[in-house]
Amino acid sequence: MTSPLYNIVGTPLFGISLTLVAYQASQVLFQKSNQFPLLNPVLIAVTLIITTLKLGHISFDQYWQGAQIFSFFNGIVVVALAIPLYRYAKEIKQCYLEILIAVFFAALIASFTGIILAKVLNLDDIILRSVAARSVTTPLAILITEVVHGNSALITLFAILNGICSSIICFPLLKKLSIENEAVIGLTAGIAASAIGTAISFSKSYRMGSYAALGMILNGIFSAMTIPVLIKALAT
Amino acid sequence: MQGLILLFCFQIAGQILQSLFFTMIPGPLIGMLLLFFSLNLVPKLYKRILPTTNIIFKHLMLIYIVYGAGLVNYESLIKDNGSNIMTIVAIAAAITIVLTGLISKRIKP
Repeated sequence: MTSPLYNIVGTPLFGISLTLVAYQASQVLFQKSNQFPLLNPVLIAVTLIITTLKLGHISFDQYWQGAQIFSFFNGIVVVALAIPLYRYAKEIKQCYLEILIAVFFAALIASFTGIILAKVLNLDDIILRSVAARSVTTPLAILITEVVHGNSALITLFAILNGICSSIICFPLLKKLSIENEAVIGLTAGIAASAIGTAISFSKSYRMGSYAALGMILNGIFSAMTIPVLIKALAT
Repeated sequence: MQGLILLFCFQIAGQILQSLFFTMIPGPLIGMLLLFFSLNLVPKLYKRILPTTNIIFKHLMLIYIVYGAGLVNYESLIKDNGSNIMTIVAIAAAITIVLTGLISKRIKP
């Protein structure tokens, strides 16, 4: 315990350095694997950090001293979402009302199915409160989950799992429903699979990506308004 | 730096409005809506803020890594509920995608 390394563990330097190293390592692995979905960089980096804390018998609070600096920027990211919202809303000039109505109901369905399934499977209250916002873009999902007294670590996990799962099944499912309209596919991918769905949509076409970005952000806005009401009505 | 200061101003404005009126809507979200309306009024704000947001969005994952590391406190919860969690995520995703696709089918262009 007298090793010089343990003196650093007590300072913010430790949490910051560990986060940066884990981030860099996960990025390299993800790129080397040709962006294989299950090697999601956040998942890998989190595993690296947790393993380090366990092996070194370091408490989460010690890590958090430095790491919280990064979490502080989450609010700014949410504000900054106004930039893509403005940009892609400008590209899409027609059908505003239809889009708004569709996203509103989609947001309700997404959070409702999560909450109801958690209830049916009789899961912990904290899971029920943390699962609702899983398809919302992560920065906003964390804020919404804090409002309804869920847990920010759990919603981060749910958002990643949902992003991977939805982005894999979204495009084949829509094909099965013989939906071929790029606008509808993009909007659905953005709502269901947020950032990953938007990235894949942009890789297919700029127009599909624009709808996905719009769907993702509007879904977040509507979810912030509806999830607190749903949780109040459905949580015990 | 100018862009960052502007973003912080909108966040602070959002937080203040939240504490005054809307307790259920997160302050930064109000800040985002304020910025969105400001962009429509003053389009040149876009170019001022864009370089900052590009940098922020590029390293977004750093933020979720530190939140995700909090899972270390929920090890047993995840071990006990792992399969249930996967079930919920998969079934809810399928339902959401199918219904959203069918609802938005009516969008024309």
